[in-house]
Amino acid sequence: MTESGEAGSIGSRTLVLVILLIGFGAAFVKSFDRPPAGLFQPRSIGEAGDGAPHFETRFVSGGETPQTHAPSLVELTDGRIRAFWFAGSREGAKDVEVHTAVFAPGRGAWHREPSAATRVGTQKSLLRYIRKLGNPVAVRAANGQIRLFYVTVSVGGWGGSSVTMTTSTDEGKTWTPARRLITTPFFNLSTLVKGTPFLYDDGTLGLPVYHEMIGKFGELLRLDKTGAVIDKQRLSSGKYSLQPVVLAQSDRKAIALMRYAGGQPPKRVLRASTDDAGRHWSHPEKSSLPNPDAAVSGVVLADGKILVALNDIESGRDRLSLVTSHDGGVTWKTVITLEDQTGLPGQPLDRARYLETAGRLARDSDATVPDSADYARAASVQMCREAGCGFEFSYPYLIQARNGELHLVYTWNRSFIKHVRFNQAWLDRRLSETGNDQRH
Amino acid sequence: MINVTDITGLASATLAIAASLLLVPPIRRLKRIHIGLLMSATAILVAVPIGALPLAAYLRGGFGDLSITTNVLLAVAIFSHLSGRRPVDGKQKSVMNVLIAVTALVFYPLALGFGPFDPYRLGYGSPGFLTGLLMLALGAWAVRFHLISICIALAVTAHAMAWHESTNLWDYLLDPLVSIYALVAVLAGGLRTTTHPSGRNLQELPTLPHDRVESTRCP
Repeated sequence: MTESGEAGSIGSRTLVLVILLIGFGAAFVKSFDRPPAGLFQPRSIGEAGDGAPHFETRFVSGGETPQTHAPSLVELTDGRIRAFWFAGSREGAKDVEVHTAVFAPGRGAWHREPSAATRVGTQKSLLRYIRKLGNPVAVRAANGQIRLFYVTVSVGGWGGSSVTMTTSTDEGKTWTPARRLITTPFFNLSTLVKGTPFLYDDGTLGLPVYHEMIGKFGELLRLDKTGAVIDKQRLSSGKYSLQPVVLAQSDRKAIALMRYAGGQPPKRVLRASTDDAGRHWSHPEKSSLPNPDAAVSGVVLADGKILVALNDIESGRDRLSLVTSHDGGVTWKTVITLEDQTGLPGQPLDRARYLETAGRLARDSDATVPDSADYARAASVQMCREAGCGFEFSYPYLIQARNGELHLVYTWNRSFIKHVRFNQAWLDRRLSETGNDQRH
Repeated sequence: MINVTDITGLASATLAIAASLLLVPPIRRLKRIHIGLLMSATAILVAVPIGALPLAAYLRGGFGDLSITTNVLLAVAIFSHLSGRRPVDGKQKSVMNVLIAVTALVFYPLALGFGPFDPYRLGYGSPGFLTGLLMLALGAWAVRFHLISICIALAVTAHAMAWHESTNLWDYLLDPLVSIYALVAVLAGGLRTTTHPSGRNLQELPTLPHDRVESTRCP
């Protein structure tokens, strides 16, 4: 090698070393800037109204689209409740949008608002092709903004999902351009949301997600105050668990409940726990709660009891109940069975009987329904096949408002979103009425 | 307003589409100037919106943002082909392919749920992971495998600068496309060595298409 060649080689070697040291210097600075793990932040809850028991039901959506599914809720600063769900001509269709409506507790009525997210709008924001939209969940971030997370798919089925985030600074009237969260290394495929997001005490956000391509398992994302993913933790592994819900009992203690997606009987809700604010989670075990491979939702009440809404059967989704546990999810007691069509003789029903039953259920659900036959017909389009008709009450989402009221929404026969509103006094009365019956 | 991460993501998709022209044999036989013009025209065509989105956005929608490693290898391939010069020798690229292939074979199954350990989590700023990478990059530098050092250093720098949408360092180091490419290259190289055991070594593992531009090795 000539002298000039040698000098060039030494020069380029030095340059490589300099680039390397600068790059790693920046990376280490960034790494040490990352917020340390936070503690859970159990919410403080007030007392609603005069404390008299109340319980009421109504529909959130009015059949604007043939199919609706996967509702979620967030409380607004003025005490109103905003719901989100996805709806369109059918699940996975290109016209599916994330719908939203607001509930004014004083008026006791829902008011539909323009969609929070559309496929074309999301595609434009993300500058990438989007094929369909799915489950939305929302949370109030530490800075007061509402963050909405929803599932988007560019290629394939739900296994090809990723999570998209948008933010509102005006309580959900308008939304910022969407951002995609990158959560897996394989084409960012297969991360979905369903469980309720929550805040850590340092203002970072916990977002329960799940993976359903090849494996089926639950994960927990941690997002910083800007919404960037700063950590991801596996809550389970294998091919049998989905849709985790994290329920914090104190700043360090929490349980995670997961939908059981395995085939091995008994089919039970899976339960994992932590005593160190989620640094370590126990291996998920089957709880005593039945689960037909369907979503669960829950809250931790002020007295430490856990309240969960779920399909408490091992097959089908035609029963939905509220259950409670006073011992961190070890034993459970049924509070109320909200929907139950499991005992209906002659199932699957023929269309005429289905229309009659669904019409009655619609009337019982909401006295203000103008024509329950319309509701029944809309439900029959989704729930009737050649072999007959069935019922589905699924994808519950339960929150507790700051005034202590509890709000539950769920998919009603894939065609409407139903809302159940009740308070702690009603819950206490139900628990005293049921005594020790219906224990799980 | 368009984000910086969208610009970088679309630019890397455009680079990939332009570089893919080099895989077409009739194009590779063209004069360098014509190849350069064709690649430039293609890059403009796929970066300009047609309808709602530019064509590059469809590639990005399907494959996500390409890693810095892929970008570096594509840039090296394009530079080599258009200049007729070889900035990186075959041995370095072969070792790089083996490193990527082995990492991908261990990393992807674990990251996609094979077992409770998730190596992808390390990419969210684990100091231990960064230290390991630094050791690897310094080791590669010490033995003059500068391609590996450069790829790691640029990936780490780009991650620190939030160059892509992802906040995970792994997405800057590795992606499925470069992994598949490296696996195929390693397998093809192994097959060739098995078929012709007499002579060929790692230097002759297949790498990017520009290898055919200039060969100084004996046949």
